[in-house]
Amino acid sequence: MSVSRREFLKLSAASAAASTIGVELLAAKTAEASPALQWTKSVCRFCGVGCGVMIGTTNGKVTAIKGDKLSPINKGLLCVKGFYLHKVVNANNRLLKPLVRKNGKLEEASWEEAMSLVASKFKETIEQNGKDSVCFYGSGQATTEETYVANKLFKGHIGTNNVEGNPRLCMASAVGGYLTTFGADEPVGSFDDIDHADLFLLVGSNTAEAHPVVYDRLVARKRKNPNVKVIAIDPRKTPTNKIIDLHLQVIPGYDLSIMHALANIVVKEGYTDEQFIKDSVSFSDGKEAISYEDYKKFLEQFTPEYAAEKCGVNAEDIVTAARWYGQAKGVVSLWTMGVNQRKRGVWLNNLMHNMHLITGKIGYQGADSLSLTGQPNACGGVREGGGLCHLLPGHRAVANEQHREQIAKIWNVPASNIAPTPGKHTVAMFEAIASGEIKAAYIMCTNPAQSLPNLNKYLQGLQDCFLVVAECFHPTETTKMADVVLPAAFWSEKDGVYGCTERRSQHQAKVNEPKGEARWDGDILIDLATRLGHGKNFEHFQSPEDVWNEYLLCTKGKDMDLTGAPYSRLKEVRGLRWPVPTIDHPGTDHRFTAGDPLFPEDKAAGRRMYFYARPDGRAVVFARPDLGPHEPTDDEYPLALSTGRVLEHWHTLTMTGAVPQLVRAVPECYVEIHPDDAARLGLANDDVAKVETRRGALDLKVRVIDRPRVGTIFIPWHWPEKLANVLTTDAYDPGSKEPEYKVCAAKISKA
Amino acid sequence: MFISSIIVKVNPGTAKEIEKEIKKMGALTSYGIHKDENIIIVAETEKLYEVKAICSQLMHNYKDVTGVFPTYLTSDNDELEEHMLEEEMEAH
Repeated sequence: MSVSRREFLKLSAASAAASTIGVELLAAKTAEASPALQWTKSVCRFCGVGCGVMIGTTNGKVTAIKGDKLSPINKGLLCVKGFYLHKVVNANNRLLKPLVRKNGKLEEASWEEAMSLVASKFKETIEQNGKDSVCFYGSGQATTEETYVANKLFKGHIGTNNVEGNPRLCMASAVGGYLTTFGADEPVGSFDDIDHADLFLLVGSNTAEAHPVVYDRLVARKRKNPNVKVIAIDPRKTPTNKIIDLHLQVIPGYDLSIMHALANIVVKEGYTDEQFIKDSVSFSDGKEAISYEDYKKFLEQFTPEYAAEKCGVNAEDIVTAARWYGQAKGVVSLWTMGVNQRKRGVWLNNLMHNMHLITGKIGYQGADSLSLTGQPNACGGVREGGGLCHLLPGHRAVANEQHREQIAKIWNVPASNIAPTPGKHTVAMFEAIASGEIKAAYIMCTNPAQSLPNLNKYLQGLQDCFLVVAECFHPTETTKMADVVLPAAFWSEKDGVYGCTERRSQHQAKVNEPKGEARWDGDILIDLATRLGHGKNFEHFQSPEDVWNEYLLCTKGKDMDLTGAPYSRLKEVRGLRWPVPTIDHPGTDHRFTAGDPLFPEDKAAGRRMYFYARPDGRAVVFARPDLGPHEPTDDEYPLALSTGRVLEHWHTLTMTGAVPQLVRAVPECYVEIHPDDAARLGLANDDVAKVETRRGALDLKVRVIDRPRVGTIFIPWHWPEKLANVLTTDAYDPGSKEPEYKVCAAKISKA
Repeated sequence: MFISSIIVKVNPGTAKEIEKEIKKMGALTSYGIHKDENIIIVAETEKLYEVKAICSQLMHNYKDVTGVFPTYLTSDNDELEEHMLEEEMEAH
């Protein structure tokens, strides 16, 4: 039977889907199996889950994409974000040539002209205003190698610690939480724990939409064992509610009290693991050590009734949640921006960990306190690679003399080249740009002119400073303001390593040449280093692999040892979870316990867990005050505004035109409001309303829906034409310096 | 024209009903209900974002749909050309 080309491709697509779930749909030869199509293993570029992706190429062009069936993370599944990966490779809006601003307009230029201008401006700025008058702002989407080169250039050679990255805006509080509680960043367990847990606690996470592959693992776990429970603490209903058994729909910003109330009930009703506490836990009020008894006394004020009133939920539900937590054999807590993007984000992270520590539900299959990350390499490049102003590669700190010496040796520079004090964190960096203190900025693979909070405060400064933007695409809100835009290679056009949420490092494969004159970001930075007179220490970087090999030296002997993960191995395996100290080590499932190659059996002396990153081997349970948001609602601004992502928001206004009959029209930017609030304020669906905060105002279409709780509104933040971040606050967590995007006070009225 | 296969995961006992609904949507072909009640469908769309809209619609409008996973994408052109920069920009 002959089939048309279209039918053949449809059969091929269906067959590939069937194959993913272990079904042989078709006996016929399919396009997927065509010898002309070469498949290469790679990793998804979008969120921090780290899904395996297979890239199909024909004659050096990307022609197909599918999930990697052998990936232990996604087992062949892809969410819609990953599914879109290929298209940008071939997008005709890719930036193909350098652009230089001339007479107010960005014009095409040669690489020589562009780089020569960048180097001379940076040189001149440093000479006239000092090394701290320049900065680098990177990304959790850059490869580890790219961030490493930038770090080496700016911290080790230029001598400024003004090196930041956009993970400051999304996961710095998680870093602070892990560091203060466990003594070391990043989770104890992994995604595998999801497959064995009896209870999931989701806080501030719309897992179904933001991390669909993780969500699928939750669904699968729940289906396998119907007794598995899911509790959510979140101000908003989302598609994740489909699997939620108990939803504590809290008033935004007050959930610290709920976490303490849960702990209080767990203690009072005897669900604690006293042996684990005795062996592996210490207590602190954040300033000094306290006793277990002090902690129990501290908790007494957090009755279910107290927390219920503060958060606007039922006290009985808090009791139920605590009992489920206490009775479960294994609990996995998952959270994202709803916890991290908060004025008290670090503290809330601590309180998530507290629950695992007092119940001993950590460090074994099915039990973990697992922060989900939003970018593919925020963990790898920025957290592990040291791409923030206070860090050095390999979980080191600039303030630590020994760490500076170790890294300086690898970088072949005097230790004195590395400044001993942290540079400017993200908000401070853009404030310094706005004030003129920082005069030249290099921005790589990110779009701060859209993503910074309280945007109106920073835009003029970005216009005024000498701004270099290395990007794959143009225009973005940031490239529009740049003096020089450098075309960068995208995803499949470069080798690199991404480190995902679960400590897994994976190789991203180069399968096609960069479009136009685009260059790998590391190569551009090496060029800049050479032009600034530092070429000697960069000339051995002939490829990303060379950079990775040097980076591995920084990890040797550290808690995140990747010595056993050279390119040769990473190209073969589906990633490795550190610590992986030798070439034959399989990687580590759970840290701080038997099986972790760094676990000190002698010091542990029979204890199940020994937190070796802490001086006493004990993780810390914190008695933190339950402070609310920076900007609570009041009479003038009576609604709590939260911003975030929705699945639809990947669509833009330019695509809302001719939508085929089978799909709903893609919504434009809108504000969600609860029906009760809408009725009270006289707002109806599709009305245009003015949303105002103390920082700005936006006119938005109204969507009346019972997703947000009464008294709150929600705006997806992605449309450049409707920059939600003109409304958000740039008040930040004093520890992590992460801004409180998730809560501010607002008012709304019919426009 | 883009051709994409999608695995639709549903709650036990609901696959037949949901497959019926999917068939009504047009431009979608069902390739049946398979292991663990996974429904395999193939979408033919002029624009890639329509696939996303389909996924979104399935996830939001059907309470028994627990997951929607596009698994394979190809085009009846020789190369997967795409002109929607904005979506990638939003990823930043």
